[in-house]
Amino acid sequence: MIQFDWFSRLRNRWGKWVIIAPAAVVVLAVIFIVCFNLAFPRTRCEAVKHLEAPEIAGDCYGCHVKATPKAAQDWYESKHGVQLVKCFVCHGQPDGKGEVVFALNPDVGICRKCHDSSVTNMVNNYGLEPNCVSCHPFHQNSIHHRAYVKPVAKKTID
Amino acid sequence: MEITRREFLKMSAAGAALMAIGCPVAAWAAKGEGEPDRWVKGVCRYCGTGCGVMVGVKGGKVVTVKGDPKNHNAGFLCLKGALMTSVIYAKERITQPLIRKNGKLTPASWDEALNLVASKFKEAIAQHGPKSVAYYGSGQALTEETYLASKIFKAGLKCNNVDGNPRLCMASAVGGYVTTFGKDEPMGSYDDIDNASCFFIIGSNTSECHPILFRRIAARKEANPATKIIVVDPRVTNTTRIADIHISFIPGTDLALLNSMAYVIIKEEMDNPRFHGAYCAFMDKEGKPQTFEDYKKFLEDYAPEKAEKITGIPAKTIKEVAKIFAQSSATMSMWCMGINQRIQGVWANNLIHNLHLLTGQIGRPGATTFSLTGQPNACGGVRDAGGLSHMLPAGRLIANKEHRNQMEKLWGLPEDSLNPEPGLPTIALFEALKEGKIKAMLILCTNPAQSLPDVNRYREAMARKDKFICLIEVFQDAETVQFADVVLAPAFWCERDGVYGCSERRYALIEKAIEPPGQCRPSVNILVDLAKRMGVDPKLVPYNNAADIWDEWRAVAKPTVYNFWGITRERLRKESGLKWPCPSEDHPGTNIRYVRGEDPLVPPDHPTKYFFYGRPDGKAVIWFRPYVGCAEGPDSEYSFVLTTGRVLDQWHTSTMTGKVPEIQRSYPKAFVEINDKDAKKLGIQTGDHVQLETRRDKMVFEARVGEVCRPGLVFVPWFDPKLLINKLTINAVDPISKQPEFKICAVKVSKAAKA
Amino acid sequence: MAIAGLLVQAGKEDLPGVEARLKELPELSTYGIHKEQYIVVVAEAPSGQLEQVVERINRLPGVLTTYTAYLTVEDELPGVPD
Repeated sequence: MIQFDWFSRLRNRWGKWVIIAPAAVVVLAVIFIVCFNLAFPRTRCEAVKHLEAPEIAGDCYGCHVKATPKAAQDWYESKHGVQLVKCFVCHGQPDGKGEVVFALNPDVGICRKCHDSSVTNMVNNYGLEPNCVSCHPFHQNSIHHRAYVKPVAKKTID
Repeated sequence: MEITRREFLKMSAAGAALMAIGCPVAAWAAKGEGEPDRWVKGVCRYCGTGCGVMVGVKGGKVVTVKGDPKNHNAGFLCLKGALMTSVIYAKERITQPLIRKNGKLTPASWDEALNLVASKFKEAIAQHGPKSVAYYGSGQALTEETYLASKIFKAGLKCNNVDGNPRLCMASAVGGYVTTFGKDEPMGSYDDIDNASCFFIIGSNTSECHPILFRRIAARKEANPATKIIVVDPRVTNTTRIADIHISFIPGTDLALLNSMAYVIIKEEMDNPRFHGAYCAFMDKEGKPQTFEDYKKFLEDYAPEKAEKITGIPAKTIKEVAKIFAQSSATMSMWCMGINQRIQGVWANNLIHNLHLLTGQIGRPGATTFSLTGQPNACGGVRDAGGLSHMLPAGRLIANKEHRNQMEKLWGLPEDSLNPEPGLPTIALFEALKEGKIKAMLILCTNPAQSLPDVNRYREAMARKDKFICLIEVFQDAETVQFADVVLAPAFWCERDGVYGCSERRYALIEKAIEPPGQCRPSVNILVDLAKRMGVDPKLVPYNNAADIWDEWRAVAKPTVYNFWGITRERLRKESGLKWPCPSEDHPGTNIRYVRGEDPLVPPDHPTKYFFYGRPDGKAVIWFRPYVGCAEGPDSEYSFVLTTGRVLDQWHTSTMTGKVPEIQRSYPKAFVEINDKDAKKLGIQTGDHVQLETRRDKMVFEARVGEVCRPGLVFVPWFDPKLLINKLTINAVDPISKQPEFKICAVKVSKAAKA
Repeated sequence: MAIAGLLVQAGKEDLPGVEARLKELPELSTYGIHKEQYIVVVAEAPSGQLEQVVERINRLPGVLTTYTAYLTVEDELPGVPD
């Protein structure tokens, strides 16, 4: 029984823990997976990749709440989330169908659809390259305040 | 240096790719079309919020749409308005007239199609009289289109069967405003949102159905955190995300809640006797004058403990909400279809107005009773221009001889020549179609084969062989197209200019941005052409374009409380809309009606501050409206309540939004929302197939289980032409407004085998 | 013979891995990572097979999508394999 020699050695050294520890890890993992799935019951995730289920590709949140939970939660709790400015309005569709270019970082032209006067203001007053997201939380739940509660202290731009 | 062709091509390929991402940040990433040459001002095609838009045009094509920063929406748009471009260029566009030959719609010339339609109408009128024809219009048609169609039928053909789909959505709000204040349309405007300290939102999923107003309400709360938002809805919708108090109640019992709030307000002496003593008349439900003491007696049936038994709302909550409503410095109520699409819709509207009149929460910035309009032009077009079967333009009534004589003078008709008998409202009209009494119908800009309640009946009616339907419709896949004998090809949205009037009495101009495709023509030109061929006196339709019609409509409204003489075409081009009354060209428009100093129609030296000039005694009415339940409540056999409604992304029958790939993939099909406790009892999980069955029809939907619907309630959106939920709804109507009760009917819910 | 200029888009963290895998495919030449999300790629394949090459790229783990920026087909060129 040469192949189990290392096991016997471990067993001799650590005793019953050799069995209990890995088992505990497995059990905890199972509990975690079960809890996660219970927390998001029947959350759709028919697609592992974007192009596999184009007919529901407009329900980005449905998959991204599992695939990229932080970004999804940030969006949900932000003003865009409360206002239902859904993902595809800014990011487009993964297969490029529709009007909006599919982009991880949408072009400022997309921001202008609703925030035109603000963008023009910034460009006129500060001459800034209109790249809004370097300062403005496009879908970000700041740890200091939630979307419709005034922050206690203002953050400075660094 | 030698370079092979192959290497050259490969370098070009790499270069092209690099250029594609390397070009300077173009302001418009519209699929490589580049920055628009020009921006054309307009109004969004969708809901009654009436957001201003700027349409970006390049090389004669629309390449993008952004919000108009100068209109009330301050540049903001919801996802529907932001994604209009795909709709304009959908491949389903009808670009030339179609005539049904041997069961199939075949392309035809304008002459052939219009002559056929005209002959069918002439034939029907000759053989069966003007009552045998009808026009069914829309709150999405331009004001000029509705005014013109109404004139053609009522003045030209002596036919008062002119109605429209606002009968299905706003008629009860009209009834409420008219019976309480004497005249239609809200007193306040969106500016009130910026000043309110309490929002009472009932029967409205504002977040999904008026998103840009929802944004403004949320912004108000952000600016003034003490603002209280109360949301009253049997569903926990996204609107409740900003609510301080959400009140769920047994569907149909909201009248009891409203009366109970009035009871509490008076009992706790939070009413405003100075206001209601001076400015209100009390009337019982038959219209007999009553006193304030009578009112208190009437309300005794609605003490909170009694109302709790009816509504399921704890008495404590009713008291709390009444207190907040009455004591806030400025309370604004907003409501939509939850209140209107009911057999007691008019009464429910009255009861909301009652609360404002009782407390004096009215006629001050932020204090107003504000009806949210569903469609972009139900107000401006159908309600104001008189596109309903009992109305004439600017609030005049067909049954009123004086009003008829006024219109005869304005339209150059002999005295007493207008037909004095009101025509048929929508449901009665389609019932008449079903009975073979309507021989020819012109349908403009609406989709009744999907939008009418108990729609199997009316699809059957439209399928009759002895009827003729001419449909003016943009998309060939609209449900109603299959029932049309002739389909005419209209210009769509910004392919022609015209006015939309939104919820806040703002008239704004959609300016022509591009040419219509193929042989499409503006509907006003189609209607003028058709009228002439039908034998209507050409002097009645001397119009070359919508602007001609606008000037006549201004003159027609000038002597009435709708006076918007100052809203000329020129001003509409310069401004982003103006709110009527607007009596002169230097008048800025009106925020608050019926108040001296705010409303130009109240003389500046009027003895009292408030003047409800729509009513003969100048007083608004506090109506004694008892709680009466719905037409078809749940029982032992059909134990659930079925309610229908909209979702943010898909507009109405999705003939437009369904063309937007992003939207179609966001809501590809209808579903049924079920409460999680109910679902558990029925063994249903999200994704399972569920059968809904009413006394009228049954249908299978995929379930979405959750906490949105209260127990006993299921919700189905009505956008999906493949799952026509209106086959299950009921056609019971409000006796005053004739508006159907889409919101409540009884349904059986069971798990189904996979379809 | 078809030559296509492609932009392969991937998440920031996946870019090096995707680039490495793209380099392994015989039909492709890579031209670097740009704008923190795109890899510029030139694909060369018999015109009937180009679509499958693009499909294969799309199926690589980490790839979000592929854009075609340039396409030329030279089926009549003498001496060039078809």
